[in-house]
Amino acid sequence: MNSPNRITPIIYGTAVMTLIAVFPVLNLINVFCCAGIILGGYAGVYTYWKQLQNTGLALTTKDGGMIGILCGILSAIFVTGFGLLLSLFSETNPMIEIMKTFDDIGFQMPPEMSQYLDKFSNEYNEHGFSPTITLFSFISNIILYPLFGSIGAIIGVSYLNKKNTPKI
Amino acid sequence: MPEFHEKSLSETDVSKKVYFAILSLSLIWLVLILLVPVLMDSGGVPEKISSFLYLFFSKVCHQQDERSFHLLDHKLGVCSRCTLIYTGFFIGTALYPIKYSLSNTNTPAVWILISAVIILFFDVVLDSAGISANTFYSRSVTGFIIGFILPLYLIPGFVKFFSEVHAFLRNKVST
Repeated sequence: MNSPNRITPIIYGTAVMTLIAVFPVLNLINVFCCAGIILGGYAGVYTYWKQLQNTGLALTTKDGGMIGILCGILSAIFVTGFGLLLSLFSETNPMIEIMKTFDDIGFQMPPEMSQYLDKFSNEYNEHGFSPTITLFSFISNIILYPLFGSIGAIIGVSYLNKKNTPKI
Repeated sequence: MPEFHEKSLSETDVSKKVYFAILSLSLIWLVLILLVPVLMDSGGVPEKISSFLYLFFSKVCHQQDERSFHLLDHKLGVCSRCTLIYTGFFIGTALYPIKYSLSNTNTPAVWILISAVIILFFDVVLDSAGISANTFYSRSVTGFIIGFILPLYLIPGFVKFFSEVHAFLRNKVST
């Protein structure tokens, strides 16, 4: 018997991860140790497990882990791309807003930090986005999303397989 | 029989590699969190590295000053709860071989993990709802508990994952 396709679970998992990361307020979930990404990995595995229910095939850790990693990679690309598009189409310079917020709350910025913000602000003015921030964001996303996505997926496999085990 | 011996040797090898990779990565992660304020205090190039590390960890934590441990007058890379989650994770991983074999692929009952998540969840929700303010102590303890428990699920899971991938690739190569 052929195993069900893994595209649908990957799409679901990626959608959950990406939506949580890009929606305002909802993205606060990710400040709790990337809970949104873990949830996305779990959602991908859960969808795959649901598909397997009618086939009689078992959910393997290999498939679950791969779904989590792939969801993470795709979501990292989408989230970075979304951030890039948002800054390209928005008229505001987020660095100026950050500096203004610090001024409002009376935060004394170290000279190094102020220098950085100026540099990023100039990049925004020049290109409409900051290549440094985009690159850094992509590098950290491509590490964090597959890592936490696979954690969510592996916990999911462990939980769903336990749920399926008949009690003696 | 020799074939079986060869297979089990290979699986033990995979589980050892997976365990030491998780142990090393969790140690590096924890050291980076502790290193951020030290680098910030050093000035020059280390300070620049520290700024990028703060930016990196801002993806996984709110980094609120009043909720973070401080070292050399600078906050750590993540808040107190996250610091204790990662510390708990490292200690749990380091102590794992005392109770379990490295090639173990069985996880404990899920209710243990769910209980730890519920305790942490209530600590967050009761504080957010203004019912009972959490403290440095409650945040640290709830964080540590979940961090300490997680390796019991993740190490067997990753061992199983990499063993299955290893077996799959070996079969692919042999056919």
